[in-house]
Amino acid sequence: MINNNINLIVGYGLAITLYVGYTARLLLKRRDLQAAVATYTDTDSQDR
Amino acid sequence: MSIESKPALPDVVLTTDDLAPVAATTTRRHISPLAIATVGMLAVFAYFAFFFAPEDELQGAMQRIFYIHVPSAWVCFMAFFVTFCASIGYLSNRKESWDMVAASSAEIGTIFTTVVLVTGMMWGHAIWGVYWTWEPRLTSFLVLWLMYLAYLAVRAYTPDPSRRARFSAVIGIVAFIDVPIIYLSVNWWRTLHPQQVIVTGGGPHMPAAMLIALMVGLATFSLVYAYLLRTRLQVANLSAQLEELES
Repeated sequence: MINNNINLIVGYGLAITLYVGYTARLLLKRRDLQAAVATYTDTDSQDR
Repeated sequence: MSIESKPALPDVVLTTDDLAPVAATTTRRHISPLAIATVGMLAVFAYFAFFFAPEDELQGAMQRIFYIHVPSAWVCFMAFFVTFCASIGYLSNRKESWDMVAASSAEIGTIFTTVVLVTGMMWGHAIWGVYWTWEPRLTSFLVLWLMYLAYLAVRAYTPDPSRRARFSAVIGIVAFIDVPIIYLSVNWWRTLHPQQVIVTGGGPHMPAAMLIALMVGLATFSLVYAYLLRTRLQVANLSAQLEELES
C-alpha cells in the first residue's frame, strides 16, 4: 500500500485554498460594489 | 449636501426605484438558502470522502484525492459547456447578459481546472513518482487551462466592451473543442492516466461505497459551481450598474 499522506494533505489544502480564496474575493468585491452603488442611490434619494 | 459637492449622476439611466433592491442588500444581512445548502453539502462531502468511502487496498489514503479531483474535472467541463452555449447565444443576438454568463462561467471553470491540475499532480507524484508527464490526458488538460487563461487575458486587455465580448465568445466556442478530446484521450491513445471507471460498457468499475462518495462529490461541487456562478453574476451586474451611474 502506498503511504503518502503528505500529498493528500497538500492536494486538498491547495484545492481548499483556491476555492475559499476565490469565493472570499467574490464576496468582498460584491460587498464593495453594493456599497458603492448604495452611495449613489442614497445621494440620489437625498436630492429628491 | 449642496448640488455642487455631490457625485455626478447620469440623466435618467437608472432611478432610485430601479436600484432599491440593490441598496436593500447592503443593509440586509441574510444568508441565502443556496449558500446554506452549499456549506451543508460540503460538510456531507467531507464525511463521505474521508469516513464513508473505504480505503483503497493499493493506493491507501492517497486515493481519497479522487473525490475532489474527478468532481472538479466534471464541473469544469460543465462550466465550459455553459460558456460555450452562452458564447453562441451572444454571437446570435449580441445580448450583454449572454456575455456576462459566458465570462462568469469561464472564470469559475478556470478555478476548477486549476484544482484538477493541482490535485492531479499530487496524486501523480504519489502513484507514478512524478508530478507531471507529457501524456495525452494531462497535456490536453493543460492546453484547456491555457486556452481559458487566454480567454480571461483577452477579456482583461480588450477595453472596448463590444470587441471584448465578440473575441472572447469566439475563444469560448473554439476552446470547448478540447473538452471531448480530453474525455476521449484515454480511449484514443495509450496513456498513463487511468481509463474511465464510471461510464463504461459494463457499468462502473468500483465498489458501491466509493461510487456513492463520488456522486456526493459531484452533487457538492455542482452546488459550489451554482453558488459561485450566482455570486459572480451579481458582481458583474453590480459592476455594470456602477459603470452606468459613473458615466
